[in-house]
Amino acid sequence: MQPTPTSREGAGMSENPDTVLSVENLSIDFHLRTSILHAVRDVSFSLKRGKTLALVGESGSGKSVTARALLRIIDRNGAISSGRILLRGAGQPEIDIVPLTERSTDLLRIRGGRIGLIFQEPMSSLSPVHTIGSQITEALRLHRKMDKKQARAETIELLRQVEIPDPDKMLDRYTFEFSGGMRQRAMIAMALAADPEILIADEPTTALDVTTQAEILDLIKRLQESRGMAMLLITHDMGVVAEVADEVAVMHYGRIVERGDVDSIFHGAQHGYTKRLLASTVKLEQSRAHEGADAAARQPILSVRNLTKTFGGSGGWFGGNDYAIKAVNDVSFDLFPGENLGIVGESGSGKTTLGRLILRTVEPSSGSVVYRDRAGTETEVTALGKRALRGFHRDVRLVFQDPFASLNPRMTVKQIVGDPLVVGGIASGAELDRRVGDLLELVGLDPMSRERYPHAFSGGQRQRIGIARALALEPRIVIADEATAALDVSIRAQILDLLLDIQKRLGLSFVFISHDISVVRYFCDRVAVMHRGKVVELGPAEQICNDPQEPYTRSLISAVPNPDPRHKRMMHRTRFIA
Amino acid sequence: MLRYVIKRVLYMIPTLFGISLIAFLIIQLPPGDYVTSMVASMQDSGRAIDPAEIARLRTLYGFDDPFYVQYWKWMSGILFRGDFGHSFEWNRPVADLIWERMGSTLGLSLAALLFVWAVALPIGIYSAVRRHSVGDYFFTFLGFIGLAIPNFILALTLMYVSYRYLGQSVGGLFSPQYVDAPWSWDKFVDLLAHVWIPIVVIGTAGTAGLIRILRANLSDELNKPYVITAKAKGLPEHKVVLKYPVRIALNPFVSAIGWVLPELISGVTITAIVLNLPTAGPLLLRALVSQDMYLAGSFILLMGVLTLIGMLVSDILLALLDPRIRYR
Repeated sequence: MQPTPTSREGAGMSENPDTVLSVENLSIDFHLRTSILHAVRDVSFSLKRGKTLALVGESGSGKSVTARALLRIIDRNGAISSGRILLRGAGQPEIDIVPLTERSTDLLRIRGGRIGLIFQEPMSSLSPVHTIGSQITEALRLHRKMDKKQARAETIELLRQVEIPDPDKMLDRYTFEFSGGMRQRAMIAMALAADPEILIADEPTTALDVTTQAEILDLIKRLQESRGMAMLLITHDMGVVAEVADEVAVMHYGRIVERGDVDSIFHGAQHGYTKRLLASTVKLEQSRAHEGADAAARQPILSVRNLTKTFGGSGGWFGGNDYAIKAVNDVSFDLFPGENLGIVGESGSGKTTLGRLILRTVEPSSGSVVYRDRAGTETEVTALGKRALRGFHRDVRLVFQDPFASLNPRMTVKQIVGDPLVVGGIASGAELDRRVGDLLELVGLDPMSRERYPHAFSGGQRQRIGIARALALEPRIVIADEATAALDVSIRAQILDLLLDIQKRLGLSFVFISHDISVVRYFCDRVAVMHRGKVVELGPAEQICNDPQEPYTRSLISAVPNPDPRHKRMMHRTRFIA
Repeated sequence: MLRYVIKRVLYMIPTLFGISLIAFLIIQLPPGDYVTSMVASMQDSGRAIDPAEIARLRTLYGFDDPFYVQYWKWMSGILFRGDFGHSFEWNRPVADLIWERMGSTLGLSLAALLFVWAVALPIGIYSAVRRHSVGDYFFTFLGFIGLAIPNFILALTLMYVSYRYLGQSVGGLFSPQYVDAPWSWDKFVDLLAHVWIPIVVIGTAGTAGLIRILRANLSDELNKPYVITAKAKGLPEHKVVLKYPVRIALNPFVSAIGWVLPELISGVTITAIVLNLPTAGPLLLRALVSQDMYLAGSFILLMGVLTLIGMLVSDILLALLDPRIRYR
């Protein structure tokens, strides 16, 4: 633990009176079964009062481990091997967090008391069997020595600060009665309960919709300013970084490869990795050159008319719920050959249900879906029988969101990709082997890897396998439901380009369902914006993004973070009040 | 919540009807009836029986009536008069026989359940939190032994130990001199000296099973993000574990109530016979063998009722424990 000056800003860093926490040469090792993984190597940075440092990197770069190490929350097989984490407070002696033992009261006082943590999964980061109030009150009673009544009053005040409506009632609710955004607000209230000097926000908005993301970031930023907290923001979204951060540190394979203030990172990146990361960030303003867009002259391949799906509404034996939800409400659109139609909307807007209705994995309540096959004959999909539906499914395939859950871990890649061919009785033996090889090559995977199991592949490679499976039957339409949402930015760009390339070669049509407008903009010719089950606006991608007509679309577009710190968009966005 | 309970109780009515029908069907299934088996055993001992007498008995017991008539007679007796019928073999009302045995059965069940909980909970938590430690392996080993040893062997072993080294009378719930004595402090102490053997024997397999379930469940829960949230809040580790993941991993414990009651009546019959326990199991076996149909039927029916009540209690407790169930 020798104090070596590693910071590019020089050794003057630690003398800065605004520095509340400095990390010096931190290294963390994980002991795996056969080897030692150096997850974090020689990382140094400092957090300053009222400022935000963004730690950027792809999954596996060690950014979350670093953040949690500040609280000494590390998985059992990991340990800090060297370095110092110095915490300085006003009028308090400097504490090095590293040598503290797991059970020491000093450490427990720092956790939650001086450093607050909020992190990604708003669905699972709060206990489902305790009320929101009890979980926040607990933090208050731990660190601020309040009695029950005071703590309750303070909790209501905190919930009010994070803008949860009716805080005195919401206090006694459970997490599953809250939406994702509300849970994240409650989580923030909890992290702020003991008035910490430092807030660690680990991917705080990754699981949220753009509009909710904008609101949450807005809230965090305001609370940070009013309380003068230092913030460590961990994210892979360069747009969020540009909107919120003051300083940026880029992590790659456990090291900080570049560090500097936000403007110099975005406009004068030195390191190759930073440049690549920025280049692969899909910008909302950026769109590819659209070719062959004379679609209107051709016959649509798929026509959806007045499609509606109602959930609920029928009472059970003992009077179940008698209200119905129109998940998809009177939706109509056409899909032309070789066209990419994007469907965007927030979670709960019905976009996924719409995709399933077209495939009829969910039965529509009313409306029609007309499919025009290769010979030009029109088929009414909603009226198809089981056998005929199988033929339809041969032409219309689905790519799923989760590359980890959508591949059977007990099947080899060859079995997975070849499965549609085997089920359809199209190929077997050497022929099957050849087809699978071709498909893997098509999606940019090594055909030699066909005997391996999915766990041997990364997220991006798995998604390629999923795409190869979708293409096995030479479909004409591919429905991609959030196909890139679970991937890192650089991988996301690769997969999008792969899909475009395949489309060009095979003449496919895509229905691309996503909540990420930048991705849709980049990928799609036309975009349908969904809100509460209805298509509120449908038009060319260009027009939707640059000149949205409907107020809802306008608010949605303005909430997309802009990956350029000189043009922050989110902070002066238009809000949509319905 | 009240609505949920009422709903559950109402659902029990058709289920009960189904159980009673099946119970009656089962006791009717074997060929012949009580008279046949009585005749057979009398002929074995070399006595001749007048065929007219047999026919008279058949009419008396109503064995010649069609199925539904017999069923109706039995059910209406239970519903309107609390009369479960008459035991042919014991020549006593079935209700008396059952209540005699039910008290000890229920008492033993509850004691065994408490034993299972008291042992399985701390060991399960320890095993999950200190996974792959020496202690975990030790308890895992014990657990597998508990699961693998047949109950009656364990019972015999414990009886031997108790007799040989502790110098106790073994078998039954009381020493001979206390069986018919009125309740006193000495009798209670005598009961305690006897009752631990059946409790341990009956509880061991269940304990081992629950430890494994709790260990698996808790290991999953320990990696959930809300545990990190609780840690990041500054709670000490033991409080984190007990308040959050254990609470959620407890569900199988509560569900255990549902199956422990019927298990004790039917599942541990062999143990009860070995240990000479005055529980329902051996009586049910005798009744089935001798085709004492009303006794057997009533036992089966009562077991069904107990299962339903156990399930109801465990469901209500589950709903109290887990708000997600309550609100569904």
